[in-house]
Amino acid sequence: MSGDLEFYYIFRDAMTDAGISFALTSGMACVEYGIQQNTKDTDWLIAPDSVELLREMLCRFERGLSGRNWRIGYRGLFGAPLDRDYLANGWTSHLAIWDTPDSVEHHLDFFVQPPRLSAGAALEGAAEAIAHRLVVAQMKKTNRDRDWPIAEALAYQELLSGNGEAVLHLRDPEALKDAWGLCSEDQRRILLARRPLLAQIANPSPKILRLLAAERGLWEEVNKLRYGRYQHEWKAFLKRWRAEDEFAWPVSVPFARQHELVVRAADVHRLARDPLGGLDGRVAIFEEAMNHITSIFALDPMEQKLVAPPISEMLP
Amino acid sequence: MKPMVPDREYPDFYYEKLAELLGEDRARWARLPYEERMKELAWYHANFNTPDDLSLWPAELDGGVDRP
Repeated sequence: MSGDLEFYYIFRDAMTDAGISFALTSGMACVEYGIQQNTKDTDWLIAPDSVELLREMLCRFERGLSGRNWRIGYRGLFGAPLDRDYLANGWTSHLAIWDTPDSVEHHLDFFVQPPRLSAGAALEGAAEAIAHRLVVAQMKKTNRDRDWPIAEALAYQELLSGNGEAVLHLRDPEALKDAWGLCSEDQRRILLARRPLLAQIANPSPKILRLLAAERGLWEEVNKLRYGRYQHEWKAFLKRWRAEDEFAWPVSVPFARQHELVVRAADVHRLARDPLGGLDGRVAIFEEAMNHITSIFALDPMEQKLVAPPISEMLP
Repeated sequence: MKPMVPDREYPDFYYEKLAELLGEDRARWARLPYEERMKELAWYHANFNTPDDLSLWPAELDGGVDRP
């Protein structure tokens, strides 16, 4: 029997052998980086072109023709089908795998375009099948209090290794100054466009802590509104699907058949591929979040500009 | 089990910062060699239901808010 920790090594090696481009991210990536997380789930970034390969690999393993004989299924709340069109629009797919008859149920989540990152950026800098520390940090800008110190710890690791880009995720004025000092002029221009508040780093105003708090508040609010769109879409889809006379889910059939069922359901019951609604939808989320933060922190127009990263950074 | 990435060496400052951000116990854990870190984590997995396992909804569908 493999425990959750052994299993993610097994799964990593299997994906490597199958020629899949991927990287481990989120909680287990933090564990690998020496930041303790107790989650048993594993989260995987998959290159858009590798989604089909992954699905084929899973079907092969379930058929037991390759030496492995896994049981694989979508979880009850499966997110979206393991399909490039959905995953490239920010959905995730949630699977359960049993790799031996007495195995525990391993939970795996798959992303192509994770929150706050484009598909291309997500795999940038990944080495040894693990997402770059700053990619994980960007994913951790959620509205969970417990994620922010983790993002910052990852940024400290980069700072102490001489990577000035840590400045995107640090929140302590002194550490920000240190990281800023590591950046070239060219780098600074790029980083400033991604995080306008860096303009305050060399000579921080007495308001800097308030502005840092407002900036975090904006990320949190955008995340809350973002997931709200996915949640609303999924619940409405499930309601429509459940209204079918023959509705049955979850079902105990091979993974390939489960996949056909969820693809058909997503198609027939109109699970939107992009619940954020393109650029207009993203602008609407950003503006709603900005209005909320402006009223809480009483930001003036100049401060609003300082605390707001571009939409492309928050909702790519 | 071998680390997926080689362990980096950090100065004491890092572990002090980690204690500030995440608590003394996690800073202690971070100082352990990789194998011991994983052994301790496996013990937690074997003996506790960890927060994500208690979540009915996947994180992106319930906002990933902390659950009791």
